[in-house]
Amino acid sequence: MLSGVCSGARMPERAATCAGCGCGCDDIEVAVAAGALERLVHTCTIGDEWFAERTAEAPAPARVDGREVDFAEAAEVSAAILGEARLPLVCGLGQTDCESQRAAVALAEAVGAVIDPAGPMQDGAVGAASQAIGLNTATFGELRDRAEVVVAWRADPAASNPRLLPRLRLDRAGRAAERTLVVVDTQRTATADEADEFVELPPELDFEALWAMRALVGNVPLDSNLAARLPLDALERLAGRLRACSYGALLHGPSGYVNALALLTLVRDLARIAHIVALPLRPEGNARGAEDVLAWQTGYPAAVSFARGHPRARPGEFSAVGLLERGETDAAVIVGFDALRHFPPRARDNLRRIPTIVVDPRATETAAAARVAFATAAAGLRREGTVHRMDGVPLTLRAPLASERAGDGQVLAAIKARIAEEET
Amino acid sequence: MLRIAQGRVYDPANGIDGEVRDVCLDGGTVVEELPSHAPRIDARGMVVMPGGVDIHSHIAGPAVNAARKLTPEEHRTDVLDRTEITRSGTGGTVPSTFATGYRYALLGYTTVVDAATPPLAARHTLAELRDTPIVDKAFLVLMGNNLSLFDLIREAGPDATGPVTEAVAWWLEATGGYGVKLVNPGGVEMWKHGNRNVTSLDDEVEGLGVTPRRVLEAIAGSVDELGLPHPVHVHCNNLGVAGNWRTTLDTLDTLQGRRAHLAHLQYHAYGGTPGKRPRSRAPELAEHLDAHPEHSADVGQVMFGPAMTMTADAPVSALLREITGAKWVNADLEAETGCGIVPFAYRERNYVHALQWAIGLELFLLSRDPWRVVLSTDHPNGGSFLSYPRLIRLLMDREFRNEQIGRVNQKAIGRTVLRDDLEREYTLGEITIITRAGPARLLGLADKGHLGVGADADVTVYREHGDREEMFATPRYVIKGGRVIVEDGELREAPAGDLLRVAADHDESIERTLQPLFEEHYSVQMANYPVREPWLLEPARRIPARRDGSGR
Amino acid sequence: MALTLTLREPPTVPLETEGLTPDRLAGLRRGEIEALTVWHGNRREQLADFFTVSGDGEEDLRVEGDLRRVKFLGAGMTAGRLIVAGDAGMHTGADLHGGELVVEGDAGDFAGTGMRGGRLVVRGSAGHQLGGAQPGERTGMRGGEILVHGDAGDQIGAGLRRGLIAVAGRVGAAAGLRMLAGTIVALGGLGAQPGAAMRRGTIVAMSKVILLPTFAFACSYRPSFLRLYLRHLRALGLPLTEGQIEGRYARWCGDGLELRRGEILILEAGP
Repeated sequence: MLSGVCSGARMPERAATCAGCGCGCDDIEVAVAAGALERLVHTCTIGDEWFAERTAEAPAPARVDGREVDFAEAAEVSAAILGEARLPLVCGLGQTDCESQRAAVALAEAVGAVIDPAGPMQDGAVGAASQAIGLNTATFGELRDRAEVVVAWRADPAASNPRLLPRLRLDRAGRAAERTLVVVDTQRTATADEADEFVELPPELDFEALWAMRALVGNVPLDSNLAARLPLDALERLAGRLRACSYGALLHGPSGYVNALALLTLVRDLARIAHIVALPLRPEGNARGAEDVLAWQTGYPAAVSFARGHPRARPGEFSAVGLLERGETDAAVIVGFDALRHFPPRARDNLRRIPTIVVDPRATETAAAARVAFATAAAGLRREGTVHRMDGVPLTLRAPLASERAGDGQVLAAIKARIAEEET
Repeated sequence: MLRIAQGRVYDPANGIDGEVRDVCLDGGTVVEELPSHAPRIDARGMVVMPGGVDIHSHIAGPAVNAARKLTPEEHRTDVLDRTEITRSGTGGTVPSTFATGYRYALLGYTTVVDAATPPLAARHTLAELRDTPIVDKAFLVLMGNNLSLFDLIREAGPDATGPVTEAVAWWLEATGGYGVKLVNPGGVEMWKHGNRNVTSLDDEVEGLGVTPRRVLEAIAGSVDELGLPHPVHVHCNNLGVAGNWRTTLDTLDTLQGRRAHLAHLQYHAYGGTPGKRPRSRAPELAEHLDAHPEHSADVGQVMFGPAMTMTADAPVSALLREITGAKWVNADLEAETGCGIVPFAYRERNYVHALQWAIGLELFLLSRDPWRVVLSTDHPNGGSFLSYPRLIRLLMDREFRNEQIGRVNQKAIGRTVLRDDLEREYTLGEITIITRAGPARLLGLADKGHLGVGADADVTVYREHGDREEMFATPRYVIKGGRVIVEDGELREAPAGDLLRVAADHDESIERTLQPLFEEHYSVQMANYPVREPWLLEPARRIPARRDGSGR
Repeated sequence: MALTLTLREPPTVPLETEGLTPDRLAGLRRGEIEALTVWHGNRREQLADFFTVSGDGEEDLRVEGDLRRVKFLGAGMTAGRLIVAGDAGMHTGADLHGGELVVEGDAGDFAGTGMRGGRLVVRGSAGHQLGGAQPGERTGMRGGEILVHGDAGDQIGAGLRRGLIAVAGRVGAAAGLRMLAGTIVALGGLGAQPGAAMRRGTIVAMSKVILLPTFAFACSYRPSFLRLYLRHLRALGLPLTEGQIEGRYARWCGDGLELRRGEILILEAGP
């Protein structure tokens, strides 16, 4: 029979997608009883925590200085704070949905703010390095079905993204005999226990090791004395494996700019010999989406200032952490991020000195300390939305539970609307 | 209500070629008459055309966005400030979404088709299109390297297309797409097999039991069977390779008797032998197209200056990486396609660049039917859409054209018919065809590209100007959906614009066939694959397919 | 007395002041100078809201006060002399084309970005990415001289194409990253990964350096061109000894991963 609808085949009664990390597992099943989560199927420990945090007893929807107020008043106080501010900061964003991120960019533009999704994890550095070199990457399905050799370079997915290895069939149990997993890290990690080979490498030698790999791949002579600090045999074996395979991949964690530059350049060199790609692992569920939304609306993936009416970007100058550490911002909107727990000390201290507006479905230390706090309906649990998986694949977040509350995006839009009223 | 009074009207779809008359707009469409007190625009001495329609551009989706991320240096020096009615943004060869919508509108364009979206990333493309204001938007769905379709094509055997047809319809419905795009069929899959490619239509895609020819036949057949408004949109194999004109002809012969549109024909019109200096085969291809009414093409003109090569044809990007040494993006998208990006600049003195430029002009100037060879620069691959006015001047102004021909690499010109000082100058009527009426007809957008009663009230009014570049760069008025959007190069308002998507039914049993293929090839659940989010799909207009064949 | 702009108090958020350069201010009446635009965060303000203007501007321009949060001091300057009496914020001397810009204190990150000519002198220390490139651009500093009497941060001279960067104190990591040509002189020590991916050009170090293994020893010699450079730097007030000027240098070629046409010269101990 002809149909104009894609049912997408049978869908479990209560399907959910987990945005607890960058894996975006979309095969979660939830059992709901009396409006609460009763049981979760297919989640990992991080996923369980993600759902738990978002179903825990939520604070009042809107608070000013800890005092419960109605939504309109909280929006008005927020508008006043941002109207006053000469360089407000909008940050967080990595754990909310793309629609809310769009609203965050619109608000940042309206109030001439700096917006930076990059958290404390130096996620921005890989983006900055790719602006110099480019990048060569692939989605999960390609890594799962084609990659013969996979290197976890200073990345520990078994801990940071627990379902990644099984989903890529790279865990010991799921890995085909002809596929190889190699881990390069400071000490043995959970991922190393799943691997065929572990290469020990102190973090301060990352760049040198990647550079030596480039030389080994390109048959460029290495000075044996200068290279003496490096595990050359292991690196040579690794270079050999990557040269010999027809499809290989590097999974890497966040790193500083020069290390990211070295890794991307190595992958570019390798790509002339074999089909080698790299995938940066993302701890946050929608950090990739935040970069994507910012990029399509402003042209830049991170660290954007709207202070002068149009987008300008400069990692370092307009990065959330840098701005806060230098005390250069006079108000902050923090979306779905417990900044006071995760930012470095100096940034935390300065954050306490300025008025903050926190928009988060969870009860966090940052929300408790905020001038204005909105407790929202969580995307992926009580509101639908879209997130971009760490490999860029867009996914729908479902809403297995109902809620009367506004989502992050509606709150941000309401604040913007309030400001617009005052302007006119 | 709006009366555009006493302009010189160019509406070739309705046989109007520069008649002075009124165009009446009401409720978003063109109407027969309006009461005399209706507000009016005095268009005396001005040229009135339907709003521009871009049949092949790259404005949204993961590839476009990767190019934006790659080029902060272009954005820093080309910024748009926030205003009362517009969002801020940045430009360069790949502008931000808001800037893209505004700049297309300022150029007199009211409909734009994004030519390459990976179905798995449809949500991303849709989200960007929603942030691309003013213009109506549609996108073509990449199907030329889709493993599930390969499986169905192999199973279906040489003739039958049944399940393939249903799957094609399913994919269009699942993504909100408008039409079907094939990019280097089979070749991008081979790129993922150790950086290889296909070089002829009969190369087997390793281990998959299909060939480019088989994919072309099956998908083109399905598109015709479904009666989609736009024929299969083909980016041929061997793009950019010297001697590729034979592959292009082979492709056209394979598709003989079936409707087909060839993308950026200029990049596929090279003689010579692979690895050697290309020469022009534009005359042969122009002639072949003239002889086959079921086939059409957009030119893919290159314009000198900065460009951004951006394609699903990833192996081509790897070659450009080697040629330029510039930064390079490659992104493999599971079971569907690839993506390659390399910043590029076309130089007048460079033999190959000049030849490409000349071949584009040959295709325009030699083809006899402007309805089937229409304007594009494959934005941003051949140059930005902002260069259309200059391209129009090259076509309309022989003196200017010859002056430009004199500036570029003469060895290249010597290998084209441009050396014989072609006399042809496009008329305003013909320009209207290659920039509006033709693309709209090829896309099957019955309400676009003309000013007949019932057509969309999308109109561009130009001030007559001897310098055609000047004239087309800054329309006097741009009207979208009956509202005056642009006056004298200034935006007056910035409405959203609609998504244009096809309505093509599929046999729902195809989902049972696809389910196991999804489980094999994808890392997402099939249940989560079809786009349902209203905030991504609305506002949309459905253009029906004519499965009964009445469309043809 | 030279034309002097005195910042009354440190701004609460950074102040952006492109265009406060001697060449642009020359010939402007005081009222016109006071009316010049500065950006205080997201507010467009007038120079007089923050600075007191005194003296008269024929030759030099002096900027005084706590300027650590003042960005783009001397940016785009083409001629004349600008003295920053104290510390300067980010982007100081960015896109400098000519003239002399003297920072008597420290200079923030990105000083001398995309510099094309003229001289930038920092009597204190300079931050990261001194004389570097704009994001996404392959080429950094294209000409002129940068002299730092104190230390300098990481990635100085990234993408350097022409010109000289000399630092009396310590230089951070990845100096000369992806440099194309030009010269970097580090008198007080050179951090990790010097000259990574350098194509051409010269990096000079006066003490032990840990080189990347993709550099190769070429020879040990007394480079005559270097004497000229070093005497020039001494004339400009950098602390150079005869031993350094006349000394033997170990010449290492690299980066082997690029053209290997670049060199790192390391002063050898002893006479």
